Amino acid sequence: MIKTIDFLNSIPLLIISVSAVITILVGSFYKKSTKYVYAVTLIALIAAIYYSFGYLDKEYLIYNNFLRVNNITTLFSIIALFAVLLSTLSAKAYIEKEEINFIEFYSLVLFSTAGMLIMIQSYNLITVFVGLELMSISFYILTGFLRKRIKSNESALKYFLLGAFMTGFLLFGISLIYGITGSMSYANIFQDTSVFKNPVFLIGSALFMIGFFFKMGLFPFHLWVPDVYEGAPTTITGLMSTAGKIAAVGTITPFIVYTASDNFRLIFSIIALLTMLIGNVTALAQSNIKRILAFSSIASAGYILVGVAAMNDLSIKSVSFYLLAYTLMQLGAFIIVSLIEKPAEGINEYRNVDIEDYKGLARTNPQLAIPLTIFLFSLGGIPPLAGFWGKYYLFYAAIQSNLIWLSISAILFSVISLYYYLKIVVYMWFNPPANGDVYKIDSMPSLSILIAAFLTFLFGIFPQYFFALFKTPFK
Amino acid sequence: MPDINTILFYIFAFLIVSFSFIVVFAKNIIYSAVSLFVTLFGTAALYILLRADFLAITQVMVYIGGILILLIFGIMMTTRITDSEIKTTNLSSVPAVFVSAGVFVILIIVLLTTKWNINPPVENDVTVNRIGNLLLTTYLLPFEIASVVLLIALMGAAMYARKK
Repeated sequence: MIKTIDFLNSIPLLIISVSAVITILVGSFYKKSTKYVYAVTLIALIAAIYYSFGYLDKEYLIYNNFLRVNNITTLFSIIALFAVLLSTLSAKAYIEKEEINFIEFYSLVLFSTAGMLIMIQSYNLITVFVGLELMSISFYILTGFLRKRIKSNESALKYFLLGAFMTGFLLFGISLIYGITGSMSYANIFQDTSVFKNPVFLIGSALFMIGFFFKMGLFPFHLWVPDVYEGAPTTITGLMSTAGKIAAVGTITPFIVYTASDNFRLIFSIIALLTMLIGNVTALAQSNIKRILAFSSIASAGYILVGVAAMNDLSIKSVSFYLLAYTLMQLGAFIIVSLIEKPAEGINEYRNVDIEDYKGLARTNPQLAIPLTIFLFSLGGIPPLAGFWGKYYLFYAAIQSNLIWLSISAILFSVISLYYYLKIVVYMWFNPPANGDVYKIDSMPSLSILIAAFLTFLFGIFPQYFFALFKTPFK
Repeated sequence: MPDINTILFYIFAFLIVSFSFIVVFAKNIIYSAVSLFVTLFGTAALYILLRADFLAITQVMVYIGGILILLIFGIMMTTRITDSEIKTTNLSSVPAVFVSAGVFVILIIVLLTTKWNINPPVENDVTVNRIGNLLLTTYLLPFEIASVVLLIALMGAAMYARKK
C-alpha cells in the first residue's frame, strides 16, 4: 500500500505532476490563460528545485519500493529540473514568435519533466519503462509542435517511429532480465551478483542499455539526432538535448555502475570512441547551426560514456558535473539560436539558422554574440569555463580505470571540436555583418542566458562548489 | 507420450511462427494484416495454456478487437483515397537477414543453455481478481503513470488534429 509519508518524500514529483494536470485543466476552460499557465509552470519548476535540495543526503524507498530517493537520484533530478526551468523561461518568446503559444506546450513540458523524475528515481524496471514513455511521448508531440512546418512534422514522425522501435528493444531487455532474476525490482536484481555473469542477463541488460543509448544519441543509434534536432522547434531541441539526455544518463549510469562487469568496459569504450569520432568529424562539414549543435551533442554523449565506461567511484560524480556544465552551455547556445531564428512563411524551413547568418553578429548584436562565444568556448573545453572541468573530471575518471588510450583520443577529439566551435566565433567577430538585423530580446530569455553564462563562469572558476553539495559520498 | 498441453503448445507455436513469416513476406498488405490476426490469436491461445485468462482476454480485446481492426480500416481507407494498391517491400534485406540470423542464433543458444526459474502452472480459477487487487495496491504507481501516458497521447492527438 502507498503510505502518506511517501507523498512527503516525493514533493518535487508531486508538484510537477499536479501542476501539469492543473495547467491542462485550466487550459481547457480558459483559452486566454497562457500567461498564467506560464507563470504556474515556472513557479512549479522553481518550487520543485527548492524542495529537491531538501532530499540531498537522505535515503528513502517510496511507493512500494518503486521509487528511490538518494543523493544520486536527487542530484540528477535537480540538474534535469534546472534544464527544464532554463528552457521554459526562454520558451515563451520563441513560441509567441512562431505563433504556437498553446497551453498544451506547458503541460507537455511539465508531463515530460514528471517522466524524467520518475525515470531517474525509479527503483524498478516497470517505472523506468513508464517514466521513459511519459517523457518520450511528450517529446514526440513537442517535436511536431510546429504543425504547419513540414520539417517539424517529418522529424516528429521520424522520432516517433524510431523511438517506438527502440522501445521494443528496451522491453525485450526488461523481459529477459525478469526471466532470469524473477523480479523487476532493483532491490532483487542487485542482490545476487552472480547473476550478472549469466548470458541471459548480459543480453537483457545489453538490450536495456540499447534503449537508453538511443535516447542519449550514442553511436550506432545516433542517426535520428541531427534530423530531429534540426526539425524540432528550437526551444524543444534545447530541452531534448539537455533534460532528455540528463534523464537517460541519470537512469542508466547507476544501473551500469552497479551491474556491468569488466566485459562491458571495452564495448563502452569503443562505442564512446566511435560516438566522439562521428559527432566531431561530421560536425565539421555542417553549416546549419542546429545541426552543428546536434552533432556536438552526439559528441558530448560520447564524452559522457567515457566517464561511464570508467565504472569507478568517480563515474557518477564526473558524469553529473559534466551534465550540469553541458546543460548550461548547450542550452545557452540553443536559447541564443532560438532568438536569432526568424519565423518562416508557411510550411517552409527554419530561417536564419545557417552559420553564414551569424557573420558579424558581434557588431550588430553584441549582447547575443558575447554569451554565445562564452558557451561555444565552454563547449570546446577552454578553461576557465565549466565545460573544461566537465571534460577534465570525465577523462580523469577514465584514467583512474586505466583507460588511458580512451582519454587521449577523447582529448584529441575535443581539440578537433574546437574547429567548428571557433569557426562560428570567427564568423561572429571577424567577418563583416551579413545583414544589419538587430534581434529583439525579451527579458525572460535574457535572464536565462545570464543565469547560464554566470553559472558557466562560476562552476568554471570554482568547480568545488558543486561537489560541496554532498556531505556523504556516493554509494 | 506428451500430454495434451505440450501438443497444443507446439501446434499454436507452429501457427504463430508460420503466420509471422507470412506477415513479413506477403506482398499484399491485406494478407499481412490477416496473417497477423492468426499470430495474435495464437498468442492468446498460449496465454490460455499458461492459465493466464485475463491476459488472453486482453490480448483478444486489445490486439485483435482494437489494433488489428484499426490497422485494416486504415489500409482500406488509404487505398480508397489514393486509388493505389499498397505494396510492401523490404529494403536492404541482405544485412537484415544477417543481423536477424545472428540475433536468432545467439538467443537460441542462450535460451537452451540457461537454467530458467520455472514455476509449474497453478490451477487457480480466475486471475482477474488478483490482478485487479495488485494493480490498485502494489502496482498503483506504474498503473497511474500509464494512465497519464494515455492522457498525453490523447492530448497530443487532439492538438495535432485541431484546426487552428
